[in-house]
Amino acid sequence: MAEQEEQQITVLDTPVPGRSRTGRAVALARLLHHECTHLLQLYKAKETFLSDHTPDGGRIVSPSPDSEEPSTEEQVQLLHAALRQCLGLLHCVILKEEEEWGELEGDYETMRKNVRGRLEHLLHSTKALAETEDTTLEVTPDHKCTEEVDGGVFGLKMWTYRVLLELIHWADHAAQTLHVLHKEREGTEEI
Amino acid sequence: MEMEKKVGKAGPDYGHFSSGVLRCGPQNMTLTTPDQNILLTWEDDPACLAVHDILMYELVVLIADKQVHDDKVAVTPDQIGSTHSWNWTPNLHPKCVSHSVRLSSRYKNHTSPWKQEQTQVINNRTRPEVFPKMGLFMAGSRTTFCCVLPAGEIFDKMYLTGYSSTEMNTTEINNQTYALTVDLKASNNVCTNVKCRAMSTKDNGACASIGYPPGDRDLHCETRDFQSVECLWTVGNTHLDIKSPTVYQLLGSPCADGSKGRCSQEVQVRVGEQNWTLTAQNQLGTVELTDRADLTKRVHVFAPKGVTASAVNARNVSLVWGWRVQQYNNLNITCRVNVSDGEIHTISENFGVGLNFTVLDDLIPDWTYTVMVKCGTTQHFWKWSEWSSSINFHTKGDVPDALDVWMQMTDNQTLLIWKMLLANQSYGHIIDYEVTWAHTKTPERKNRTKVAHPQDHLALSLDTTEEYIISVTARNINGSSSPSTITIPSSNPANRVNMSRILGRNGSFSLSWSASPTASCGYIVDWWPTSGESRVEWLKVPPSQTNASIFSKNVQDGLRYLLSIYACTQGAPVLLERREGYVKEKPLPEEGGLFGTLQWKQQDSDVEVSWDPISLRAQTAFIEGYILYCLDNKNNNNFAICVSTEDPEATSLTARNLQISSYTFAVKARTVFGECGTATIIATLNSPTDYLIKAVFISLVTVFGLLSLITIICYKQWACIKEKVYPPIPKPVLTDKWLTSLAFDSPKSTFRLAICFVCNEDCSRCGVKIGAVLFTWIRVITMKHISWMFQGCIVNQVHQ
Repeated sequence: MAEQEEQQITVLDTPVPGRSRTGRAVALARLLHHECTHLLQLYKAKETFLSDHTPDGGRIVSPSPDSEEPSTEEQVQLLHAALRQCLGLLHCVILKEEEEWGELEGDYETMRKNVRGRLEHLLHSTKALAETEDTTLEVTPDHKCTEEVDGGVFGLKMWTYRVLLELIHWADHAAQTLHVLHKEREGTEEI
Repeated sequence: MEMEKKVGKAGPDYGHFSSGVLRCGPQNMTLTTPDQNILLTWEDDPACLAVHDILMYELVVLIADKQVHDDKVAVTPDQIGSTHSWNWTPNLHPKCVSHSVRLSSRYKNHTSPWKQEQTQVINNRTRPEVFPKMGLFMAGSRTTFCCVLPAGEIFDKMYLTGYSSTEMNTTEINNQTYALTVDLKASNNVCTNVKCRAMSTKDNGACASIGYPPGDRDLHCETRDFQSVECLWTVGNTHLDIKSPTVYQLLGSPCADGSKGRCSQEVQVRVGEQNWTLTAQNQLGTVELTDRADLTKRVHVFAPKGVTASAVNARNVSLVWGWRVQQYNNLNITCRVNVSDGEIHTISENFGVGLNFTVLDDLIPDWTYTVMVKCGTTQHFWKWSEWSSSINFHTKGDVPDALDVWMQMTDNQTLLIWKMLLANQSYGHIIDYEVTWAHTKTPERKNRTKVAHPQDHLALSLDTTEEYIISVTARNINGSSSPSTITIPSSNPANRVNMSRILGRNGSFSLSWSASPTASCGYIVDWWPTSGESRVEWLKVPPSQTNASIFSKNVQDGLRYLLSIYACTQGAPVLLERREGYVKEKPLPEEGGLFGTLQWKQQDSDVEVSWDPISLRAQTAFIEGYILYCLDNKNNNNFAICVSTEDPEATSLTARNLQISSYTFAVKARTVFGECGTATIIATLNSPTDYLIKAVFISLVTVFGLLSLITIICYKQWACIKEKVYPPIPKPVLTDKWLTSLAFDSPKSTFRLAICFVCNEDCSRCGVKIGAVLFTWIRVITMKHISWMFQGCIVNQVHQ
C-alpha cells in the first residue's frame, strides 16, 4: 500500500512534456493544497469535536521579509523558508502522534504521509527556482519540535489542527506566488 | 501555575485538660492534591503518646461547607507519634472546586477539636479547562468531569464525543464551574474527547482513555521438550492504547510479549498434575488464570526435521526424518503424511515408538510428488505438530499401462482404436504402438505394424468372413506395456439384434441391460452417431454391472446415436443389444429445406405430394410421422389437415377427393416438439373430362397421322400396290351391270364407297374392289365397324 502510494505520487509529479519549470511548480503547489485540504477533512472526521472549534488566531509560521516590497524572487525565497517550517511542523505532528498512539495505518495517517512527501517535493522545486549563485537554499525541515503542548492529549489535537490549517494556508500561498513567478518568466498565465 | 495554599486552622483550641491525653489531637496538617487525589498528612500531638490504645481519627471532606465524604483512620499505639497520611480521590477534581478537610481525633469518649485545611483553586485561565485532563477510566464506571471557565466567560456546553444528551448530566457547581457526569463506555477510538465550550466560542477539553481490566481467558499449557512450559490463552480486548499495556507473568516470571497470547518459561516437566498460573495486569486491574494439568500428557511435538526420501522407486518411496528432542525417541508417536501428486492430496498415518520413517505405496511411476509430515503423541494425544517443510521427489519410470482397445467395423474395413494413455498411465513419453493381428485359426502367423504416437487408431482390411485376434502394446523409454487383445468377430448376418429407442436425460444416456452368462469379462458399451460423422467411443464395465451412464463431452444434443452393448468374452465380443436415440432431442431445423423440393402428381381428384427422405443429420429428433395440409387458394380457407401418417419412413402423402382448384400443400414432420419443418407447394388441379379429351385428342391425332402417312405412301406407291394387291383381273364378260358400284350417300356423310364384285373366268376367284374412302372426323366416332379385306369374297359393310 505504501509502495503504491509512493508510486502514485511519483507518477503525478512526473513532468508533463511541454510544461515549464515554473508551470510544474505551480501544479505541484496546487496539488499540495488539495491534499492538505483533504488531510484536514480526514482529521476532522476523526476528531469530531473540531466541528465547532475556533482555533486560536495568528499564524504559527510567519517568515519576515528582508525588504518592505520584496520582488517575486524574494517572495519565493520567503515562501521556501515558510515551507521548510511547515515541513518541520508536520514532522513534529507525526512524531507526537506516534509517541501518543503508535504507528497507525488509517486514511488520515496515509494522507499525512502523502502530504509530507509532496511538501518535500515542492521544496525541491522552490529551491531550484529561488536559488541563486549567492544563496543556497536547504530543503530540510526547519522546526525543532521542542514545544510543550498544553492540555495533554486534547491540547495536542488542537495544536495539530492549527498545524494542518497552517499547511493549507502556505500551500495556497505557494500556488499563488509561484503563479506570479510563472507569469513573469513565461509571459503567460497558462500552466 | 496554580498553587495550593493552606488555610488557617478553624475551631477553638481546647488544648488544656486535666489529663494530657485530652490534648491529644492532630497537628501539622498538610493538604495537597497530587494527580487528582486529595492527600492529607498530619502528625500526632505529643500528648497522644499517652494513648496506649488505638487512636481513631475522623475526617470529613466538604465542598463549600457541604459534606461530600467522611472517613476514619485508625492509628495503632506503635504508630502514634509518626506522620500519618490519608489519600482520597474526590468525585470532583480538586482543580475544579476547593475541598476542605476537617480532622479530629477520638480516644474513648474524648474528641479533639476539629482542625481544617482547604485546597485553593486559582482561576487565571484564558480559556476553559476540563479536569481531569487525561486519565484511565474503567468502562461502565460513573465519572464526573468538570469545566472551569475563565473569569467573565459564560458557559455554553460540555459533552463527550459519541454520547447522546440523555447519557450525560451537566450540573452547575458555581457560575464558573460546571460538572458533567456520565457512565463511561469503551470505544474503538484511542481516547474519548471531553469538550467544554464557552459562549465566546473559546473551548478546551480533555481526552479520557476508557477501557477494561484484562479480559484474558482460556489458558492452556503444554510442553514441547519437557524442559519448558508454554502457555497459550485468548487475549482480551481492554480498549486501551499502547500507553496502557497489559503486563503478563507466567509462574511469577515476566513474559516477553504476552500480547500475542503466548508465553513460555523454563521448567523441568515432571509426571503429575500441577497448577500453571498466568497473571495479566493493567492499570485497571488484574486477572489470574490457572490451568491444572500433567504436562507429560500434553506434549506438543515439534515437526519432524530433515524429512528425506531415502529410497525412490517407481511405485513406492521410503521417507525418513529426525527429531529435535531426544525424548521423542521414547515416545509413542503417530505421524501423518500428506502426499500430493499435484492435484490430489492423500493422507496416510503410521505410529510407533520414536517413529522416524514411513513407506509410501501405490505411487504413479514417473511422477512428481510433494510430501510433508506432521506428528503427535499416540497416547494422550494433545495436538498435531506443525507440518514439516515439504519435500519433492520424482518416482522412477515404468512401462506404460495396458491400452483400452476397441473396434469399429464398417462395410469394408475394421478400425482398431485405443484410448490415449493419460500422463499418470503412460509413465513417460509414448514412443509408438505396435499392432499385431492374425487369424484365430492360425495365431502363429502374425502380421505386425507400428503406429507412431500420437496416432490412436489403425485401419485394417480384414476378411469379414474370418475371425481375427489383434494385440496392441504401447512403448515408452522403459519398455512396452502388456498387450491389450481384442478378437474381431466374423460378420454373421444371423447376429442381428432388435433395435430399440433410447432417450437421454440430463446430458447422458442411462443404460441397463439383462445380464448375460457369456459376459465372463464384463460388458462393453459403445456409441457413435448414426450419421457416421465421428468415431466410436466406448466404455467397459465389470461383469457384476449391468448398467452404465454415458457422459461424454462429445455427445451432442440433436444427434442420433447408435449404442451397442456387447458381452466381453474370452473370444470375440458378442453383440447383445442395440439402441438408437438422442441424448437430447432438438427441434428440427426450420431452414435449409428439410424436405427438399416437394413434388406433386394428380391422379383424378387425388394429389400425391412427395419429398426427399430427410437425412439423418437433419433429424435432430425422432420423426413420429408427417402431416399434409391443404389450402384451397380460391376459397381462401385456412390450412386443413388433409392426411397424415405415423410412418417415419414415409416420403409421400396423398390428398383425396379434391376440387378442381388451385391448392397450396404444406408438409410438416411431427416430433416430440410438435410439427416442424414446413415445406409448401402450389398445385393447380385439372378436371377428369379434360384428361379424357386430351387423351382422345392425342389418340385421334396419332391415328390421323398414321393414316395420312399410309395414304401418302399408298398414293405414291399405288401402282405397285395395285400390282401387288390387286393385279388386273381380266375383265369378265358380264351379262348385266351387277353391282358395279355401290354408293352410299347420306345427307349425314360424305362417305362414298365403290364396291365391285368381279370374278375370273371360271369364277374360281372372286374379289371385291373397294374404292378409297374418306370419312369425316365425326363419323368415325359413330362408326361401329369398319373392316375390309383385300382378299376373299367377302362383302364388307359400312354402316353409318
